[in-house]
Amino acid sequence: MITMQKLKYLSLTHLSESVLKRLAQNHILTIIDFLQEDVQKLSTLTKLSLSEILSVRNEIFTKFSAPLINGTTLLSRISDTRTVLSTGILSLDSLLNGGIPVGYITELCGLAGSGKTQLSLQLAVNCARQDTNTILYVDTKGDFSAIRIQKILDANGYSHKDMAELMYKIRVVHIWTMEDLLELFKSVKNETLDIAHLALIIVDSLPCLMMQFIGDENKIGLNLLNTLVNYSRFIGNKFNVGIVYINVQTRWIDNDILDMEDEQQLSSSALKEPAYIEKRNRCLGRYWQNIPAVVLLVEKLEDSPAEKDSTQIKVTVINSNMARNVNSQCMLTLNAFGVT
Amino acid sequence: MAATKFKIESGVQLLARLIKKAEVENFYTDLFQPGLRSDDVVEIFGSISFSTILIDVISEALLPKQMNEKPLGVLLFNTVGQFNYTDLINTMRAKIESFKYTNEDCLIDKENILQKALSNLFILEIYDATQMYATIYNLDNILANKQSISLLIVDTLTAFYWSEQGFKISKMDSYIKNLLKMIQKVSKEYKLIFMYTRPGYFGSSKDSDNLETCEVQVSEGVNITVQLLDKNSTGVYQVNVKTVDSYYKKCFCILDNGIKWQ
Repeated sequence: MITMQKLKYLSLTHLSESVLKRLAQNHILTIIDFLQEDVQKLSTLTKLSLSEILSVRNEIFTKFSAPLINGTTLLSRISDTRTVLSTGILSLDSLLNGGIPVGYITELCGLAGSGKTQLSLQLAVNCARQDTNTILYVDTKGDFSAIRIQKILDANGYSHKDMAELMYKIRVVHIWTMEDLLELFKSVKNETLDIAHLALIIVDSLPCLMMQFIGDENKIGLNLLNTLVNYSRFIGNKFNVGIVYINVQTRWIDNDILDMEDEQQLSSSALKEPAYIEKRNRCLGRYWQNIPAVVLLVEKLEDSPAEKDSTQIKVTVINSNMARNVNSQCMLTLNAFGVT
Repeated sequence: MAATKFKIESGVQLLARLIKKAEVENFYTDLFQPGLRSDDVVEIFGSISFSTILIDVISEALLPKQMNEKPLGVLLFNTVGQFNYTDLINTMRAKIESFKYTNEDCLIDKENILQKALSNLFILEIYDATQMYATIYNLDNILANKQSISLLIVDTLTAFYWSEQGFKISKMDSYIKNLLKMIQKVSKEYKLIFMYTRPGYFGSSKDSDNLETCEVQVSEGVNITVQLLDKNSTGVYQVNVKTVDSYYKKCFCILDNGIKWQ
């Protein structure tokens, strides 16, 4: 759980133990408590001079207030560093204006068995092929398949040596709880876990970890999810990393519920057929819905006239911070060579 | 100490008062009638990405349509990481391309115009609640140093709500109210136009998603509410605007060089 920064752990100048004690007696414990208090009152309480109080405030600002970034710095950053990470699949790259956006959260969602994991494995492989890119693959379901990757690489004519080199660049971590995932992200954020040339993080899948919080009154799950989003943004921006979360879509057939009045009106008309409507829903709740900058829907086309041993996958942009891309689609093929 | 009868003014407040900043008027008339002015507080809510509409607002502020108009400085709080910077730069480039230049102006380097316009943009990347509050309390200092800033945008205001909830859950409406109060204290002092975004679901009232009922209580201190709806089958987006005394609809579509209002 995130708590506000406590004054006593910050070793700020002027805030001696006795001053901290006096502040605590007046319920001023966190930096926010301190900042929102009237400067004059703080001075009276702590017996510090006004200028000393102001210098504590400034010290807090230096440590915690976000640095101001000028638009011209932004411009040079955008032209000097990569803004997208090529997926290695031409049609998908053009759907995404060049690739997976760096510094943003991307979501892949789809029904069970729609090819999300296959696509994420392929993204990992294709990304690892480029330059020195390293991929952090977070497996929460225990089904990361090194054998599948090996088969894809084999089919593409990779030698064992090249294969080993490439697979070394995909770091797989098995995570079973949200707390552990946060711990992992925190260590990447604080650079206690140093992954050289980290370019892409894939979490397959997030709903698995959030399941245990369903129906939780205290909303601990949302608290952790919010923290995960914050860490993800920080890592994405600071290290120029693309972050992909796999989400699940659920579907059910709904006999569209009509109230009595409507039903009576309908019975007088010719339309007596009950309206069965297939409804679909992205998991992870309302808070998450607006979080990813790009949401891609992955669908397996069951009766596509594809060749034997291959399946067609349709990818649709269902949400994007580039509004004109929404609803654009591309088709991918899944076979022994992987997803192309 | 006896309570002082006088308002003690901090140095920055004094500075803000003395600067006598020019009031902004008639900003972004494509959507707002008669246009935004200093002290206006605008809430934009909806369930789709706010990036495109914010980019249009920001590029209008940095690159006014009329070349003789003074650009507005913009301060952006990016709290949720949806805002698309590449799209902003591309939209501004396209906008500069579309300007009608006189022969003399043709000599001006277009990249230079972009650089100059962007020098009036200031961004704050906020990654957690502590940083958010510390930065809000520091706004005073930021604004005193950057006097060109006339437009403050927070995208989104409620990004850290869940990370702040523990065993006791605070009401969504009062959470917004509290933040607004903190920010407005400064935005009024510096005569800013203050705009913030709110996800559609975020609100204590069940009706808060629908402006059309006209029952929506415009949050205290907010004088304009904008509802952003998803595009229809022809690619047209609808926007519902509610002010203290009016309610109207507007539509836009998206072209390569940004939003085109209809």
